[in-house]
Amino acid sequence: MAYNLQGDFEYVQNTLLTLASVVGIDINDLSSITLNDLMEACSNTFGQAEHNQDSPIAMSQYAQLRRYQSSFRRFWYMYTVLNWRINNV
Amino acid sequence: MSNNYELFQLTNMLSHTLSSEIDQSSIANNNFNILQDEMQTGVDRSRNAIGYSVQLNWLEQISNPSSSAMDIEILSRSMIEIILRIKNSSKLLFLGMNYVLGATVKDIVSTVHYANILNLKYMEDYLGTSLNESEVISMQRLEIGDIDEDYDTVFLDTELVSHDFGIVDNIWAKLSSGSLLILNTVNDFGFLYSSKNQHPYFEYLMRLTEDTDKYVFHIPVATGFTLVVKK
Repeated sequence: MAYNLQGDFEYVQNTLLTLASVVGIDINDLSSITLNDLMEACSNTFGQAEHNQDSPIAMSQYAQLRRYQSSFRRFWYMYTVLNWRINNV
Repeated sequence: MSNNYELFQLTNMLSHTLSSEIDQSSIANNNFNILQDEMQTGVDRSRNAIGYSVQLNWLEQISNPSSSAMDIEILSRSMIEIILRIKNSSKLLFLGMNYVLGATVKDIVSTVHYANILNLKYMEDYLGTSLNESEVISMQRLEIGDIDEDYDTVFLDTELVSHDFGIVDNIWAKLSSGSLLILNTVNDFGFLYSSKNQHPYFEYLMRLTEDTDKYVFHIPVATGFTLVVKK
């Protein structure tokens, strides 16, 4: 199989660490961090925001929050799946 | 014709593409098995949204062959096939989430290189074959633009690069005049249109239109495409 699990895992892990540093999380053990921890850190960094089209400021805040939350969701999920595969397959 | 969805269905009926002829049941079964397989790792897409697309748990929706999502999925794949055939692409760089589309483009373009992401494993499982190592490029290399300089077409799912649009810029820098960049799933399932200039993608998409080395075309069909041709 040309798909390289280890290489994929390293990219996902490093990217997750980089993203985490933006929201002030210093992660020594990624596997102990929950998605809720990451979402909370996003809210702490970018503030609570809502999808309110009548408010440009609220929408801007929402866009930034959503970008980071979405990236965290994707990379945290991939990290969990790939980490399991490395340890169990 | 009472709504856009019926138009999608009719479009698929009137099209003759590799994508419209793929057995929907086999794809649905495959997607179902992928979801089951992922759940044993301790995560569940239906409970843990993993990005823009998967907030809709897209993979689960297209685990049903008669779902509206499946028809939109087929239309999206057909659109890409149309673009590749008109372009007559000969060397394609593929960074896409859709492993079925990844399999289809192998039958359309003579040389395809794939990004090393989990969806590539799903594609290899789906095809029942393994790619050669020379056909697979690590994300680490894509991140710094360490790629061949003779791709005439690049396919990127926007979500896969949304954490770092510099990846797109570094790939773009290696393309020659006349090359085509396809940004797929660019409307974020319609959220781009409701949020407009406050959407996370908007600033980057606008910048593309302001660059002097690009012709940029946004197509608001299905999950949205932005086509970028290098001057």
